[in-house]
Amino acid sequence: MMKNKDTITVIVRSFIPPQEPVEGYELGRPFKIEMPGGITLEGLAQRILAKNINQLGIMAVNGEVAKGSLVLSPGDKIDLYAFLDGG
Amino acid sequence: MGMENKTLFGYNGRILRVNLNVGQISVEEPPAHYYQRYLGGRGFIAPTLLQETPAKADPLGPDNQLVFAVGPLTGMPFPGSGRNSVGAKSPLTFAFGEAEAGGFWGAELKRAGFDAIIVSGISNAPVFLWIQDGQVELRDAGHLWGMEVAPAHLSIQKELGDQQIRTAIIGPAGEKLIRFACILNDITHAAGRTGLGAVMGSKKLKAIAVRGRNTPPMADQKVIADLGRWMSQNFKEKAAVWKYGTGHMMEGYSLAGNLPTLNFQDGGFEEVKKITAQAVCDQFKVEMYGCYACPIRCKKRVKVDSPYSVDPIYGGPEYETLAAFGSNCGISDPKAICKAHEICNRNGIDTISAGVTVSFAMECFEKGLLTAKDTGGIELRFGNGEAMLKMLEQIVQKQGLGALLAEGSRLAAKQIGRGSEEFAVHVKGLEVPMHDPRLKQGMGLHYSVHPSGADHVSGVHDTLLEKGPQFEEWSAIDVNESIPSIELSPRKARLVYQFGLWRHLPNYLGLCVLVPYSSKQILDAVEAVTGWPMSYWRLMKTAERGITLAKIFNIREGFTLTDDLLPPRFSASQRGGNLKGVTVDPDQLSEAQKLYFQMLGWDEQGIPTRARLVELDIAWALTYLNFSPEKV
Repeated sequence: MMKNKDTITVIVRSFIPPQEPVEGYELGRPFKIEMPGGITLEGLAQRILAKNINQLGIMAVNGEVAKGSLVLSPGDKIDLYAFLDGG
Repeated sequence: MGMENKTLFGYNGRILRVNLNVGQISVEEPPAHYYQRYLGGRGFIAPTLLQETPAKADPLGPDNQLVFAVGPLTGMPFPGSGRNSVGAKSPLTFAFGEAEAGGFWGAELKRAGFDAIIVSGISNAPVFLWIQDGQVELRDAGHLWGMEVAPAHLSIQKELGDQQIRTAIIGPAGEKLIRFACILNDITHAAGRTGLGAVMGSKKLKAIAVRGRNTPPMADQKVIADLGRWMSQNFKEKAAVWKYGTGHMMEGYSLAGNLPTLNFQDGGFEEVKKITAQAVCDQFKVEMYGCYACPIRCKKRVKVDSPYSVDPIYGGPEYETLAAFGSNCGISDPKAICKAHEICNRNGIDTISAGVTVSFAMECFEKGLLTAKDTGGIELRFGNGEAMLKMLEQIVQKQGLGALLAEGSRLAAKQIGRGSEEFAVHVKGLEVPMHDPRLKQGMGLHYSVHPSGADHVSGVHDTLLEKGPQFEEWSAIDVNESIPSIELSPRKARLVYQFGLWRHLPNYLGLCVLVPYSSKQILDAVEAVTGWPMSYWRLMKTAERGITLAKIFNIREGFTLTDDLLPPRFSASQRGGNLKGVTVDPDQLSEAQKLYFQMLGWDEQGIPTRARLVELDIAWALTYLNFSPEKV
C-alpha cells in the first residue's frame, strides 16, 4: 500500500474505548494506525477517543509518561490509560 | 408522596433479628421514616451498632452486633444492584467495622423478604441461618464447621436441595478468629475488610443461606427497566472492566507511581507486565462472570495446573489482590498470585490485609527483624513467591509466625517492635489498599479520617478529577474544579468532603461503584425505586448522617485525633519513578483534616457538634458523646 509521506504510523494501545469505531482497535491491545505527520500525543488521543477523551488518565510513549504536547515520531508506541479505580 | 408516606417501595419493611445466645428469631417492622432517614447498607449499620453494641464491647464477644444490610437498589432488576453491606465492631481495628460485597446474596435476601439481619449473641454450637421467602430457621452446622468455603457452600445447597440458594459464608479463617477474616457471598464475592468473618466465626455462625422469589414492588418500574436497557447497551463504551476485570491498567498505575511495590516503598514495579489482569486472563482465564442483573461481568475465573493447582471455583484475582500479593510483595509470578488469591477465598481472609501483612513481614525479614528461625526456615524475601505462599498457609493455619501475622500488621508490629511500626502500613489497624496517598492525596486524607480505617471504596480517587473529566455530570453535586492529584490543600479538603459524600453513597444504596452511572441516573433510580422525591442534597445528607454516626461510635470507643494518622511510610518519598520526591506532608494533612471536620460540622478534634446532629436529625446520638474517651 502506498503511504502518504506526510503521515506517520504509530502503535497505539488504549484502555479507553473510542467513541466511534476505530479500525484495528481492541481494548488493551496494540494496533497500528496512521496519523498526520507532526501530530501531538494529545492530538492523537483526541482523534482516537473523541468525546471519550474525558476518561483519559495518563499517556505514555515508549513506556514513559509523556505530556500531551509531545510531537510523535514514526513507530512510537503509545499507551492511553483511563483512571478507573477500585477492585 | 411525601415523608409521611406509609407505603414502602423497594423495601420489604422487615428487619430480621437473630439472638444466638438463646436461638431466638424475631422480625421488626421499622416505620417508613427510618428507611427515609438511613436508606440502607451503611445507613442501617451505623445507628444499629451505635445503639446496640455496648461501649467497649469485645468484638469477638456476644455483645457485638453483626449487621447485614441491603440498600433500596439492591435486588432491583438493573445492573450494579447486587451489593450488600456488613458491619460490626471490628476485631482488627476495634473501631466501626464495615465492608461491602457483590454477587447475588444481597439481591436474594431482598427477595427473601428482609432488608437487614441483626445477629447478636454466641451460639452454643455451630449453626447456619436458613431464610426462605420470609421463613427463618437456625440449623445445625456441626458438619460444616472446619469446612473450606466452596465445599461448605455446596453442602448447604445439597442439604437444602436447591442449587439457587445463595450463601454468605465464612471459611476456617473466620472460625479460627483470624482478625482479617472475611465473609464471602457465593464463594467468591468478599465482604473483605475489617475482619467481619472473625465476628461471624466468634458467634459460631457458619453461613446465612437465602432463597427468595419476591422482589418488592418499585414505584416506577419503567424507569428502572429503561436504565437497565441503557446500561446494557452502553457499558462497553463506559466501563473497560468488562474485558479483563479490574487490574487491566496496572501498567499505567505503575508509570504514575500508584502501584504499591515492596511494601509501599515504591510506586512502580519493573515487572508489572507479568501480573496485569490481561496477563492473568491471557494465560489462566476460564471465563468472565458477574453479579446479579449485571452484564458487565468484571470477575474472572482462573485455573492453574502447575506448579500450583488453582481451583477455578474460587474465582480469580482482582486489582487489589494482584497488587497486594504481586508488586507489593515484589512478586512477578502470576501463578503464585492466583494461588494466593485461591488460598484467601478458600479459607476466607481479606486479600488486601493478608497481602500487606505478608509484605510487612517480608520487609521485616529483609531488615533482619525476622530471621529464618522465626519463619520456620522460610526465606521470606521480596520476590519469593514460594515463600509468600508458605507464609500465607501459616497464617490461615495460625501456625508459627503465621499465628502472629494473623493478628494483622499493627499488632504484629507491636510484638516484633524494633522500629517495625514505622513500616506497618495501616490506618487504625486496617491495612492500606492499593492506592498510594502520595499520588492520591485526597484519598490519603480519606484514609486517615474514615471511621473504619483505610478504605478505598468510599474514598475520592484524585486522579479522576485531575484533568476535569465528567465535570458536566458532576457539576450537579458542585464538583467542578480540576485539582492536581498530588495537591493537599483547602480545596482538596472540600473535594474530599463534597465529592466524598457522593462516593460514600453507593454503599447506602446497594449499588456497585464500577457500574458507570451518572449522578443523575443514580438520583433517578432511587426516586423510581422508592417513590420518594429525592435530591442530591438529600442523598448526600444521608451519607453524612452515616459517617457522623460511625464517627461517634469511634469516639465512644476512645478514638481521638491521634488515631487519624497516615502511616509514616507516606511521609517519605518513593525511591524512584514518577513520584520521586513527593510525600504526604503531615502539617498539610493535619490542616486538611481540620477543614474537613469543620465542613462536616465537627470541631477541630473531630467531635460532631450538637448543631450538626440536630441538623442531620440524629440528635438522639448526642447521648453517646457523653462517654469517657478512655480507649480500649
